Amino acid sequence: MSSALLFERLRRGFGRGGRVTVASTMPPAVEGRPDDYRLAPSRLIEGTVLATKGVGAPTPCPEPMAFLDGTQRYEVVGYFDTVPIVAALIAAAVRLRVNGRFTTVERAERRIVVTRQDVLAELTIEGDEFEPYGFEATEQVHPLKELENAHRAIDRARAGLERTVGARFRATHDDWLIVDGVISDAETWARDPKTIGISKSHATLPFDGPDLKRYLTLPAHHRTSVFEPAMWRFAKVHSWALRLWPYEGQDLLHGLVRVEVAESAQGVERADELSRWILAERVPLSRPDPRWDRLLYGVATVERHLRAR
Amino acid sequence: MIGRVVATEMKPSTPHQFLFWTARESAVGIGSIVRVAGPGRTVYGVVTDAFAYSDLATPMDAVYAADGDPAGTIEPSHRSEIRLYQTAVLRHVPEEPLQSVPLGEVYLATDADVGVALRMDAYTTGDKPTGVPVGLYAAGGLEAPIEIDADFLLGPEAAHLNITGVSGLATKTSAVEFFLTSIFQRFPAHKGRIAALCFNVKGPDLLFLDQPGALTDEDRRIYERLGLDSGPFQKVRYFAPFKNDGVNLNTLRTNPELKPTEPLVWGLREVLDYTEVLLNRDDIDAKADGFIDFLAERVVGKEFRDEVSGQTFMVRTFAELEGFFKSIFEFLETTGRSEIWRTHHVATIRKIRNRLGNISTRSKGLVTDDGEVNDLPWGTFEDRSIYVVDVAGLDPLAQDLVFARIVSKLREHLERRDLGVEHVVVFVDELNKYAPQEGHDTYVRKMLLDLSERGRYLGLVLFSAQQFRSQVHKRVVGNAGTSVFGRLDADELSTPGYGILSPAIKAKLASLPKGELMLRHPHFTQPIFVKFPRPSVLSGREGVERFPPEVEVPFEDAVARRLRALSSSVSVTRIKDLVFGRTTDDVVRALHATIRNRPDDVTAFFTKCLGREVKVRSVAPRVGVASLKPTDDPYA
Repeated sequence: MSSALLFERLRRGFGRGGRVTVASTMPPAVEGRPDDYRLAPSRLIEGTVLATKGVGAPTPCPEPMAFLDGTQRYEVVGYFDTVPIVAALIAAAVRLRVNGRFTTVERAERRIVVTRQDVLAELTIEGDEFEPYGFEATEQVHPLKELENAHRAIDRARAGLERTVGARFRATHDDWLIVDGVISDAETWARDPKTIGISKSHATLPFDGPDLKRYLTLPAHHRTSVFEPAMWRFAKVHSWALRLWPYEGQDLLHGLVRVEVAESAQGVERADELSRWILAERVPLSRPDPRWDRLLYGVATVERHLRAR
Repeated sequence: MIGRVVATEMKPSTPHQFLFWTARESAVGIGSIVRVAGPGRTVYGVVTDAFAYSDLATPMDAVYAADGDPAGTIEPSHRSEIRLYQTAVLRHVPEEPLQSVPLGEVYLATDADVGVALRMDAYTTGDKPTGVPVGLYAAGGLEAPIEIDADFLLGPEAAHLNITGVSGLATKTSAVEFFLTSIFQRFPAHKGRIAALCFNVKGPDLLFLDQPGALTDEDRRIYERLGLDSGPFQKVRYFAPFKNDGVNLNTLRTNPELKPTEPLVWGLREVLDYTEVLLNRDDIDAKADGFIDFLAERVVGKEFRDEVSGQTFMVRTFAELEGFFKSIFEFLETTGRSEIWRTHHVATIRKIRNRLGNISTRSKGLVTDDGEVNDLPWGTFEDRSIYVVDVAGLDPLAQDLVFARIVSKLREHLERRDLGVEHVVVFVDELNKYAPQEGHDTYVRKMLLDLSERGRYLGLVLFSAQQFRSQVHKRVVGNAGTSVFGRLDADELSTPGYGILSPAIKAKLASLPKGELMLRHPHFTQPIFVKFPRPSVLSGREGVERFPPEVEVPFEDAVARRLRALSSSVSVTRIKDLVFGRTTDDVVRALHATIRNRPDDVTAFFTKCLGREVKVRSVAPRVGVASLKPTDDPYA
């Protein structure tokens, strides 16, 4: 069943309830992922000053490699008094590449109705297609702020689903795993020696001052020194920036990704080798996705797989 | 399951076509028959086109990703790609209400599926099945026998078969030989008796149908799978005219190890009804036509008494006809009465005399002066037998005469139901030559048109073949209920007649291997590709290598050899002695009479036919009686 039809059925159910005002439009002000932009200087692991170095020619990883990503689709389906109710379809999958061909080896999906916990307690959700997913809130806030909170809750739910499929994959496979995003916030793979996080987001930048300039003007096919990000949740990790495509004439962030691996000696010793692997993953291009300069093709196939279902 | 139906707003499924996708490695190909299992509905289809594309947004992305060097970049991931197949619907079950194809699972068709998809279940089962195997459908490791409906191949529902294919791949002749094998073995007895008459129009193509061909194990397996025996034809008779010498046969099938070829010799009576074929259209005006009718109805073959001259004639041969003409002219000259003889102007008579007199000269070997005739066994055609008439060595005029007369005779006998069989398949190759779309109307083309348009009511079925279907008269190919296509060249495929075929089907036709063909049949809503085995008979080329034709020998030896073919007890020396000093016409006449009568004592019969030798004797000039009184005065 299509996501539009699922959301519509949910709306009809709420429409019969009485207290819920059915809605179908997301206020433009809260579309997109909420980000907090900050500078959080990191500790250098490799050398004493932030340096940049060429990593050599792209070289594909000689072993099978898996890619993990998640997706979310959500819509406002109504308001309980003034509190927004958001329905979301979240999914995550791991696709394993062997000899260039992808196979989906793990997949999970959830359909959730997201709103404040106290609202959920009074809400009747018809049928068993959606499960309630509440978040704590103690005081009444601006409805748009409520929407942002719902959005963060959906992010958490999706990240949780990603960790679930990641754990299931690791339980059965010993292959390299590339995760779309950071790995330091997930116990599952923050210490896993064969997991590589590729962060496309630069909301938090790991340096300031002259180092920040060096970081953001990294030449193509170059990486920075290995550092330890200041912000982590479950475990410290080793990280470096890698420029996949020339940024000149584009944007400072064009083609720039931040790589995360578990804290170990390999973070420094294998940074060049892993960088060459990642460089090789630039192609095939993941166009027409607008994030093609940072979105690895393997990750893009996971997204496409999930969105097609 | 090998795929799933996909339909989008831009490319929806319809009742007559749909798309399905498969894994990258699948056994589906152009011509594959598939089954779609939908809720409450099963749809059968045949793949007519195939597409593949990846998620590459534009070709320029590939260039950009590779930095402009296609060899320089190794892509660790293969792009996602789709294998999409366009499929034409063969059948819906249930047939009504006719709906669009459901979004179901797609399976390769099994034997049973193929039977249902092609509606073969309607005529291959029951008390009186009428299926005739024509080959094996094969796809994805599965194969299924394909049968066509005899009612639609040989009448009365539809009839005729036309084959198109490039020369040199032996598809056309081989296919016809195989089809005849199948028809002879599987044509249902309750539909009557059947025979085939094949015109051999080039080389030795059809001259060894009674000899077993070399089959591979795969060929034998296909025969077995189709439920057919893989032996040569049991009953075949060969006919060929003589060469100009009147003794050697004008055919490549003269090897003494083979069953002898029978001479095809016609006389005045046989050709008089077909003068339209032989005479130039400028010759045939109303007056000439009237005089020919007069000859045919009043003179030839019966005693004719001319009240004007008081003479009586018996005209059976060209020689006697010549005598008849001479008498008329002598009478008119002698009496000096007028230029009209029995309402016919002398100029018309002279013209017809001239033209008819030339026929035996122009068609020498086929048409005889002396009235000795050897013809096809009209009235005693045998069930499941083939009659091959070799016209390959004849000039076009004589070929036309052979076609016209034989087909007309077949029609006459089938109309009277006294041919000996109820159905006759007539095979004519090189239809481009005999029934062209362009060019002036010929008697043969008219005859082929008539055969293709009205033959099926009589049981007269045309199997025809040509290299370029587009250049054959549209009504001849259009009336063929079943059409077969071997490999075609690109020029032919670009003609409008092939417009209904998809580019992929055309591409497949352009490279079709030996032993495969595309079939259109009234029961099949779409063309089907089938494999057929090599014919179970010796090919013409192999035949002449194994059974080389006899070297043409001197007249006396040829006569002796032909007589020895009738009886091995005939002494060559004795025959040569008998023939020595006799006129060629006398010998040929005696030979033909002997061949026709097939006597027990060949030598005695031949000797009797030759008659007593009339020796030429020199006679001294008679000495006249001297005049009594020589004088210059005539009145003395």
